[in-house]
Amino acid sequence: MKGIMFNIFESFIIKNFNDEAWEEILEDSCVDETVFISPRSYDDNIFATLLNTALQLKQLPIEKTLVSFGRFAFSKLAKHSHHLVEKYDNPISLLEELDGIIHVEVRKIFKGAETPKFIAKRIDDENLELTYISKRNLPYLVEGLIYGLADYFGKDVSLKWEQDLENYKFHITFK
Amino acid sequence: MLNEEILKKKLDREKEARLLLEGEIEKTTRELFQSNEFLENIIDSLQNGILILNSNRELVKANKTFYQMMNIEYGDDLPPVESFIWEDCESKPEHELENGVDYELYLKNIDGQFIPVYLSQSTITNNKNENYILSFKDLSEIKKIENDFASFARFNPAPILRLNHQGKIIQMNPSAEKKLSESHPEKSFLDLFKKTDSQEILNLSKNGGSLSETILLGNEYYVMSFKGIPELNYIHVYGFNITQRIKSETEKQELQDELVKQAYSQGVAENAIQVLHNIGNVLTSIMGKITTKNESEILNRNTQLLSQMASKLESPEFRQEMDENKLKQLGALMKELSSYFQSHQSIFFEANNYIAKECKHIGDIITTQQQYANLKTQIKSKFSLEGIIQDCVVMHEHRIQKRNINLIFDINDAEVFVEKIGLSQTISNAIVNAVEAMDEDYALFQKDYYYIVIYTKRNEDSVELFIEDNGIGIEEEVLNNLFKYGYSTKERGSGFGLHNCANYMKNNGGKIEILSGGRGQGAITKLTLPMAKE
Ligand code: HEM
Repeated sequence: MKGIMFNIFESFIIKNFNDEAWEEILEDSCVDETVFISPRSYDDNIFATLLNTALQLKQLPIEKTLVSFGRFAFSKLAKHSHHLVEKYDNPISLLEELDGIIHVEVRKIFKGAETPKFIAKRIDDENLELTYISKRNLPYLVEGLIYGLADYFGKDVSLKWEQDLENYKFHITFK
Repeated sequence: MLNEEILKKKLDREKEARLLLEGEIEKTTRELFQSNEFLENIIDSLQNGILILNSNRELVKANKTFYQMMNIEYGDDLPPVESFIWEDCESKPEHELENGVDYELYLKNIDGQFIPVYLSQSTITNNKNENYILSFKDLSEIKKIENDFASFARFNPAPILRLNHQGKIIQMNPSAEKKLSESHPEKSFLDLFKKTDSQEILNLSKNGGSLSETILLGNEYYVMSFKGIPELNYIHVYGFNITQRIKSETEKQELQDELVKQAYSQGVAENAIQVLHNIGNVLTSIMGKITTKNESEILNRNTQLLSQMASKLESPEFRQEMDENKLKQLGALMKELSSYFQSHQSIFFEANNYIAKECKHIGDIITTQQQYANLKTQIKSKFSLEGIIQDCVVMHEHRIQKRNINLIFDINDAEVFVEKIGLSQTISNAIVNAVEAMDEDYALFQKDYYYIVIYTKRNEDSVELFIEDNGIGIEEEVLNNLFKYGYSTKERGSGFGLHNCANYMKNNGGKIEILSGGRGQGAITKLTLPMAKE
């Protein structure tokens, strides 16, 4: 996982709790690395450990936390890579090009980034079917990211997802 | 944990992150520079002609600019290195050049033309081999300014001189020669000035700006005006004979017109140089920041690298040919570092923010300048009022921001039909006056809030532009004299004073008025301009 995700997670914790909370998480999780910089890659396990410690310390449910982290993360990612996002005037066209353009660019900027695979199918101007394929299996994170995306474009969104073998199929409606 | 403890830990981590990021930047930059293609692209995009020689001083690479200077098709064979350096010059580059020294010499191109250049050498060590980089800066433009000055001076009845940074006369026109030998043959020139400190005059060569003093030469009175040209390290001195003015009130008008004409043409010719002074000012203030915060030296180095690289990266033609991914990584890293600086408060970062911002500002000034530098005519044209206002603001943004002045716009754009440079100078003048009025006010009253409001009002076939400030204001008695020639309340005249502005506006079918309720009441400069016909 790239350092930028750790940085975003840190901001997420500090925003919802405080500096002390992040300090506690770092200490309690006993991870080797405590300084994360965006261009470097760190072991996925470190992220998982930090996340789990946070859930335990603050008594949070994992699903909801991932959703709200995803929502928060999108705003940060969009800010960081505004040149990628600015080209789009609606969330559906962005999702259509997420796999073919945005994450491709992300992998150029962040050497060694492992982005998931997405297959997007536009139904009409408001509806989209999105299949999420990843060894990391984080459908709740995707859900949150999509909410964040809707926030970004000032849209209302409703979605359902179901597991489809190893993958997850999202039915999304933006209004 | 105590709050302080947390804060300290956080700061420690931030510091470590910063160091890591810097390391990452260096690494990526190094990787990039190691790829030859990258190096070649950078070299090709430079404004100076570049030659790279190997340790045996054989040519490895010449960049596009160099080919252009030589007038040879890019990629064609170049003549041997020694042949295109003018044989008569004192130092030949194929012999020991000292690194970092500028040599002034001529480059002989394929058509046999001699191009004046500064040559400087630097050495880079690459895999234990020494390479030499020769950089040729084309001086043709500067030489042209010098020649223009010389021909402008030669036929001018007024004494005109050029001093070097030590105050020695290095060029003067016949009139100056005659006046000086008649009246003060034995004295050094600067000794003629009793009121003005010589050191202040010499500083002009470094910092730009102008100064003037009235002196008696023989039995005639001259206003001698000094103007610093920092690019060339010179001081230009113009003498205006004001004997007649003093002697006879009746001839005053004629003389005035003559002087205005002279001042105007000087103003136009020197417009280009003026804005370069602004750049100099910004750079000087950056240098100031750098030296006051010595701990940030390393960061400064990175920030400078950062902004240089960032601007390189932004040019599209440059990007195309690059190893896309590497470049993008670097671009992202640099953004990261700079946003990192921005989001942390401590003097450390403040200095860097400042530098990054100022670098952009320099860029803006240069762009603006480039537009006007080519426009040395007095021809009227049609253009957007808002555009020129923005340009003028960019030129003076530095001063405005330095004094924390709020700048408010309410502009309803209109196309005007006037001579552009004069208008830019008139608006600049109004802005500078407003800023200075606030300086004075601040010294006395220290108000909490200073503003300049720039707004327009459209009439049927004219548009009124108002530049309003809440500075020190102007007394009635001063208001009545403002537009008279030579009238100034300032110690340092601007070279294109209100009198010239008024003349300019009149010649262009407009008018200038200055309104103020009195001392402490702020002031408004009101320009009425003819609108362009459809
Ligand atoms: C501004 C646009 C976006 C940017 C800059 C961006 C960037 C990134 C980055 C840097 C990573 C981390 C990769 C790693 O650490 O190895 C990532 C992962 C991820 N991205 Fe994006 N992303 C964007 C939009 C989206 C959107 C809209 C979605 C979903 C709808 C999405 C879904 C994901 C997911 C689920 C991951 C986690 C990795 C995984 O599941 O394997 N991203 N993205």
